[in-house]
Amino acid sequence: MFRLGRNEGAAARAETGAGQEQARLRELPPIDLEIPEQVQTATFALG
Amino acid sequence: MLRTRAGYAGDPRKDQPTYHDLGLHAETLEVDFDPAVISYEELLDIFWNSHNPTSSAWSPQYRSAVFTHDAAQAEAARRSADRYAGLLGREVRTEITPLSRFWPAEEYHQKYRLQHNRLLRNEYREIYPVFKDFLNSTAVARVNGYLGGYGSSAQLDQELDRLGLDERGRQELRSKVGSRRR
Repeated sequence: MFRLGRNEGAAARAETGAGQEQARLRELPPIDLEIPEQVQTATFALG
Repeated sequence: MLRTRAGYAGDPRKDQPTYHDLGLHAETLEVDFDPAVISYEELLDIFWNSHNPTSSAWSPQYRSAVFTHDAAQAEAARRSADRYAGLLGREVRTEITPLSRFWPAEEYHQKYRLQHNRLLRNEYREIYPVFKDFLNSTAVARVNGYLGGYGSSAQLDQELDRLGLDERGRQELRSKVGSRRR
């Protein structure tokens, strides 16, 4: 199942040397750091 | 909306679908949302108003459906469909069925508007070199929405500082949102 929760990839990157380099290049958008704990998912097909 | 993903769902027998090999999957949109801000019922209202639920699909790929994640969503969707059928005075043909699995679409189908704006795409790909992170970004979802014609200049001004863009990106987005007739 495609479920990421928060930015797992970004978090994993931050734990690595390469991630630290990336973090130095650009900071993450503040809005991406504000993801609430309570997230639900809805799935629709619009035809 | 926190995040959105384009993809495929609805054919439990077809794994790893692609646009050119879909099986019986439907083209699908997955939305992550904060229920403290918008309820599932409100999302359903938007959904009913975004398509014609009384028409028959001419192919499985383009059928309309609510893929429910749990019993509470299934109940809410059925209740909402019944209410809409009553309002319309016609049978709702939109399928309501449990989600078996959502398969994300190919990268070129995701965040379509943003990916066609080179400057903004490059900014966010610099922030999120891993495509999964790019796809999972609220900032990316919101900027894609603005580029798609949603949201106002006033809304953009309120949140521009939180979208992570440098000055050139900010100007580009402002010009796109400010120039449209709304």
